[in-house]
Amino acid sequence: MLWFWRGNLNLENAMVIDCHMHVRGREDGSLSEEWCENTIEAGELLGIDLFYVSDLELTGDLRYESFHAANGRVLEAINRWPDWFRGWCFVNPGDPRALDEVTQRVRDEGFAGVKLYNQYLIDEPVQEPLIERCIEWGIPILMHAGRACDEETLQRPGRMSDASHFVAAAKRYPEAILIEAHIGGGGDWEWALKCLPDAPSVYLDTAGSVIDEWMVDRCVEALGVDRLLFATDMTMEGGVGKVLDANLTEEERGRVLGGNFQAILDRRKV
Amino acid sequence: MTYFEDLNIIDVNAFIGNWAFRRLRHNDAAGVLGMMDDFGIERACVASADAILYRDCQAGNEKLYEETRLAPGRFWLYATLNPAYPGWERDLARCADLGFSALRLYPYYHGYALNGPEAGALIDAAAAAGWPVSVPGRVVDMRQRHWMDTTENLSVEETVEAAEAHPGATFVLTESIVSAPPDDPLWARMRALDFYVEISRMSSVLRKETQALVESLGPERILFGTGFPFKAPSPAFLKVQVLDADETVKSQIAGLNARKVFGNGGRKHGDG
Repeated sequence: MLWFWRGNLNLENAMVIDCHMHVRGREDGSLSEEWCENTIEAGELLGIDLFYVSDLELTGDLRYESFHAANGRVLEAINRWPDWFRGWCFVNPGDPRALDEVTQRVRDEGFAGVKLYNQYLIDEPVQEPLIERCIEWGIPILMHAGRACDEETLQRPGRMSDASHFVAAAKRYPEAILIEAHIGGGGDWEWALKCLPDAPSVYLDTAGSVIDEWMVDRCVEALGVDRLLFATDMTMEGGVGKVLDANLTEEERGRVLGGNFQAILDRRKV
Repeated sequence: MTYFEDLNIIDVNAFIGNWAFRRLRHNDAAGVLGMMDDFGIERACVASADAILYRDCQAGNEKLYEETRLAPGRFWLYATLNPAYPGWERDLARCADLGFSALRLYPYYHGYALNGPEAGALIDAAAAAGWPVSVPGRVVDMRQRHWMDTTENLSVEETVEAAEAHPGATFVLTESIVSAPPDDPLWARMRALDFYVEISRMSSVLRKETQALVESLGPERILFGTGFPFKAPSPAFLKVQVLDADETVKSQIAGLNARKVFGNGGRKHGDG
C-alpha cells in the first residue's frame, strides 16, 4: 500500500508520530502481541512512523503493582518492536510509589513522559510532586480528559479532568508541559477550545473517535498550530483523516503530525 | 484530494442544511458538491439536516429539493419523515413526486419507536414505493451532546428487528458499529434480510470491524459513507483504501452496491 498522502507533505526529515496510543494486556496479564502487530500494521498502512503508548487506561484506586505491571507491558512492546513503540509511564499519583515508578521508567528505561488517567484531577494537590518532577526533567504529562455531557460517561467512576482543570494547573505551573488528551474523545470539544486560550502552555492531542468536520481547524484557530499534536488513541483512519482534511499548509500539517511533539521531546533534560 | 481515480464512488451518508447545536461549514449544496468534486465522489445520498429538528420535516425536504435541483445527476435524496406527525402520507407522496429516492427515519428525535405501529405504516409505505429505509444509529456522539439534544440512540438490534418485521423493505443502517463474533446469529439474521450497512464508524485496521463485515455479512451489503458535513470525509476513504480486500470488493463498497440500492429511485430528480 502506498502512503500516497505523504507524498504531498514535506516530511523527508520528519516522522509522523502518534503521541497517544495504547498497548493492551491479555487476561493473564501478558502483553497482547496480536494487538501490537495490528497496531504496527495500521501504522504501515496509514503512514504512521512511531507510536507513543501506554497500557490501556486502568480506572479506580490503582496500586503500584497494577501500574507497574502495565508499564512493564509497555517496556516489553518497546523492546520487542523498537522501531515502532516508545513509552508513556502510567501512574496513579496518589500511590506513594508513583515517583519511584516514574524514575524507573523515564530516567532509567527511557520512557518519554507521564500518562495520567482519572484517579485525580490534573489540578489537585496530589499531582504537585509529579508535576514538579516532570518540570525538573523537561518531560510532558499526557492526561485523559474531556468535557463529557452524557449521563453514562458522567456516572462512570473516577474524576475526569476537563480544560478548566488544565487551565488551573497551567497557571500554577506554567513551565509544565501538559497535554490534554483526545480533543475528539467524545466530550464537548468546543467547550475546551473556549477555555484553553487562557493556558498557553497546554497542548491538545487530536485523538478520539469524534471526527467532526472543522474540529482540527477550530483547534488551530483557538490555540495556534504549534499546540496541536497528532494522535489516534486507537481511532486509526479517523485519526489520520481528520488531520489530512484540516485546512493547513503542508508545513503546518507536518508540524501537527510530528514536528510539534518532537519539539516537546527535545526539551527533555534527563 | 482524490483517493481513488478508478472507482465510481457513491456517498450514502451526507447532509445538506444546518444543525442547531453546532455550526457546520460547506453544508449547502455548493459546499457538498465541492467536497464531492475534491474527493472524486460521483454521487451522494443526501438528507436534510434541518429536517431532523424541524417540527414539520417536510419543510426541510422541500428546501433540500430546491437546493439540489440545480445539480442533476449528483444527488439522491432522502425524504426525512416523521410517522408520529400528521400528514406524512401526503409528504411521502409529494417527495416521491419530486423524485426523492429513499426514506430517512430518526425515531430518537421524533419520539416514536422504530418497531412501533406508526413507524411500521411508514416503512410499509416506503417499501411499496420502492424506497430503501435509511436509519442512522445516531446523528452525533452522545458524549458531546448539547444540553437540549436527545439522550437516545438506536441500536443495531432494534434496526434488525424492524427489518425482520418488514421483510419486504430494504434497510440501510448508517452511523453504527456492527460488531459481533463470526458465529453470532446476528449475521445470519442480517443476511436473511435486504439489509445494508454503511462504514463510516467502523475501522478496517486494528479492531477490523469492516473486515468482519466483509467476511460475515458479505461485501455486497456494505456501503461507503462519509457523514459529511458533520464528519471529515477522508477517514471513510482511508477505510476503503486500507481494507484487506481485492479491487472487486472495494468497487462494490465504494459505489456498486449503493447504485443497486438507490439507483431505482430518483426517477425524476437527476437520475443520469
